Amino acid sequence: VRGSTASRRSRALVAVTLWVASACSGSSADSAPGVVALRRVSASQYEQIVTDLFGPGIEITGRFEPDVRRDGLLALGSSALSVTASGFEQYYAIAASVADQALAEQRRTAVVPCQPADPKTADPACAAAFVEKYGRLLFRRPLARDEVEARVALAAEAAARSESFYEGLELALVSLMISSNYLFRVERSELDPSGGLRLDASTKAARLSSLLWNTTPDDALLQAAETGALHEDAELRRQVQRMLASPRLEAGLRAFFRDVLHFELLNEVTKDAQLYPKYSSVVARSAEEETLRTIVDHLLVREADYRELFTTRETYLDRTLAAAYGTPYLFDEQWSRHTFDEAEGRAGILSRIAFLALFSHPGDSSPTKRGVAILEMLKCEPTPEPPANVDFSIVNDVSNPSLPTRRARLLAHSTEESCSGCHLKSDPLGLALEHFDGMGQIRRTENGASIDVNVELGDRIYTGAAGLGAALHDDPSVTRCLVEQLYGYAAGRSADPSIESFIARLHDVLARNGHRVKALLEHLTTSPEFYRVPEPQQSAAERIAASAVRSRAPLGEL
Amino acid sequence: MPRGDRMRAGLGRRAKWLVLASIALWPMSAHAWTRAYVIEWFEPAHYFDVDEGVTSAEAPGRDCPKGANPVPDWKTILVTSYRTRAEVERFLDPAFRNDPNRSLMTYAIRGPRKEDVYLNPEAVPDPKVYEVEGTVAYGFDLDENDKTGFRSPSGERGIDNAYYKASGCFVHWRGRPRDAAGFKYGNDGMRDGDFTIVMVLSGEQDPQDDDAALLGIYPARDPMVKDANGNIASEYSFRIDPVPDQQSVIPVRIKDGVVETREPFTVQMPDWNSFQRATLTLRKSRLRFELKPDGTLFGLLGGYRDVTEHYRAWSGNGVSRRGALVEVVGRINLPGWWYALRRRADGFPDPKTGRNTAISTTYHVSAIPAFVIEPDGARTVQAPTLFKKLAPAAAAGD
Repeated sequence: VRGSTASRRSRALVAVTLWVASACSGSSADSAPGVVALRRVSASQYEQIVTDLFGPGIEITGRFEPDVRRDGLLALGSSALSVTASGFEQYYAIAASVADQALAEQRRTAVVPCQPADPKTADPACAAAFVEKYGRLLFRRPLARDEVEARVALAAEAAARSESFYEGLELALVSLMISSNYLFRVERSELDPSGGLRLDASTKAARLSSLLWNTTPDDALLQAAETGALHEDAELRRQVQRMLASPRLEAGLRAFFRDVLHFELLNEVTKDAQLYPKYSSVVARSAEEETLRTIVDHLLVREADYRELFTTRETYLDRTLAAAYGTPYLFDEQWSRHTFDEAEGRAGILSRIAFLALFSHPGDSSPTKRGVAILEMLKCEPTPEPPANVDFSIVNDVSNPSLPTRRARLLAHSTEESCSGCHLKSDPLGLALEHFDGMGQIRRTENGASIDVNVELGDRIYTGAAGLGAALHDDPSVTRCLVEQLYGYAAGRSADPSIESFIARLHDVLARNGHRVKALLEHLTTSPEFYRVPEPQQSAAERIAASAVRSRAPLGEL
Repeated sequence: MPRGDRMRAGLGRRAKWLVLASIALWPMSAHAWTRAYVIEWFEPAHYFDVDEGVTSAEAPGRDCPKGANPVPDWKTILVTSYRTRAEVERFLDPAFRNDPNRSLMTYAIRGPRKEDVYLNPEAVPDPKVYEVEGTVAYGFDLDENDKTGFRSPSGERGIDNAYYKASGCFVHWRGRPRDAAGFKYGNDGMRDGDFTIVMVLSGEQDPQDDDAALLGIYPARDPMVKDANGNIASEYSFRIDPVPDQQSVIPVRIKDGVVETREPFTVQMPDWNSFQRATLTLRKSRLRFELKPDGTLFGLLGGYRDVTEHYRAWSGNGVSRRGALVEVVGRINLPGWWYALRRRADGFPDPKTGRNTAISTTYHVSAIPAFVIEPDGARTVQAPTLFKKLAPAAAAGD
């Protein structure tokens, strides 16, 4: 008999607490020596994993713990994150909802690998098969015997109380999904037979699946890890090539560029409705999809030169976005391929609404924000925060007839000594995009004055988005930044001087392969350096202890 | 909004329209041009002729000296030989609103022999509703006789808008432009996605001066979308719905940015107040649309409309409770309105009876830039043409 949600949740909490207490009392692989990093699963990974394991259509409701960006990437911030008490409650609620849907009557036959002898009573053998199957996929490694037994016991106890085998399984699944072994990607080291330490095979598998598919390893990859074959170059290469050839690579690429381009912030962008009536959250979502589709099409489908992302006039539009761009939408499919007319001046993904609206003010464009974003995201050149006492009055005074354009006001502002250093570096990049307003619509004048989009970059003059795109195309710091970010995103650590030679080699590989990102991915993921265990900066045990103190979550779980 | 921002927004918009225009002008030949629109507001052009400051649709004015028509006295109107006053009072008593036997058809069935007045309004006597007594109206000199009709707000004589005379004193349809409750209701339905009307204007000379342009009017399959301020967003794309009897291609001329019919023309288009995809037919029609600098279009569309088509658009044609809702919510005695329409009908006399069957009518049309796509969704319409052959077989009547 299925009880009310509240009573079921109450029972579940008691059961989970009991289970956690028992799990904590025994030895656990979680706290074993050899843990080199804990990387919290991102919201998009969580969603992808649920879809991969239980099929499409499972609704994930609730808010995930906020991510933190470090050195330009959320993926790097994920290595320094814990779970707060309230966050743990959220993860619990999400897991309970997922388990409820995954084991609902219409789905359970496909999800559960066996039939219980009696659906009204516990079936330890079937429960064990379920826990072993999904525990392995969720933890990215086979479960220890005590990890399985604890959950089988939990399922049996819940089944007895609810008189439902499947409600028991739900609780076992929840306990898997709130485990630190699922919520965190636990990276472990082991002794390398040739000396020193190396990442263990399960960690390698999880790195690969996380980078390439944005999900947990599939059965084939786990098998390769469990047999140790993944440590062999030939098998590693075979697995990488299999994964690169899979359509699931799109999910990995999308997640990487979503992180690089800060697209999670599009959810928070607001615009002045009087100035930008067409802007809405629907436009923002479509704009994000437009840029990601363009990237996927360019880099995966056409396997084209990465640098051409900054010059291409090809894009994808849905009906909403076409209206925002002021261009016809042909109804051949939901996302229609489109080429911007050269006269419009849109060249490259920086001239699309997602980037332009994201890096603008609510009521105006912002050459500075756009310039800083280009420096940081695409050239890996951090910009210091502005001084606390900076005077923005000149920039914000739009009524001054002698300074009719943003460009003129910025130039006047940047003559102040304390501001000029940064502005001279960032503003030219953003000023090239001034033919696009605060939401990315075309404009040619501001307050009656023609907008000048000629900018000096290095020793050359470039014009508009096309000029900027050409400059970025030819700038080796842009491709070098891609390499650094890809490494940081995948390995969970910034590209520091200790791996300079590896980064330089990857950069060279990228160039020698026509700047095709798939070649870079292949070389990165088949290189021993990618799996090298870094020198510890703070021990895993210290981080675990610190996390537990902050979150008051069960120590064994974190 | 600060002055600078307003100025900036205005300039930005103008620049945008210029760019839009350059994109929208699909070259067919050296001078070919196309502009496309979606109608964002459509309503009968009623002239609310009151003193400045008067806002109430019930107040007396030069148009309706006795004010708007009073609320119909349902306690009297609904009493028949087969329905007692007590039964009517119980029917109207809010306490019995949820009585399962209560039916809105009570409003419809009130003829002496249980006729449905929404189908047969002359089953009941003429209650003689108030009609417009003013002298000013929007519209055209449709009969080319400046001795008949109203004077336009700009002083033009012979304005034929007898529909306004018959209908302009109902509170539901009275008020300043875009402010009459009944017209808001109809437009809300359109703006919320019930139906869409699009127009394509094209020519071979100059969008501001072209003496051989064409205007196409079509229903569209795709709903309008509102922007962040609740207005209809411009530049959306709409696929033509090739309903055979709701398409028109009209020869027009453009002078100094004003579009006018070259000759009187029969217009068939979706009814603005459509609840069952009805057709609006205007014969001997004329139009005058101004192409605004900001890219929008505003103007008048007039012609003779069959009085029965008019009546059925509001009475529901016997297929719904619409007539009852119009009477109760709109405070309109529909048979009374019917008699007024018949009384003021001023065109297309019946050859047998000599009685006029159509009434001069004028609508205000407001449209914004859009992209109009051919029915198959494959390309923009570059020049108006009829797409009747693309209608589903069951619907294609020609």
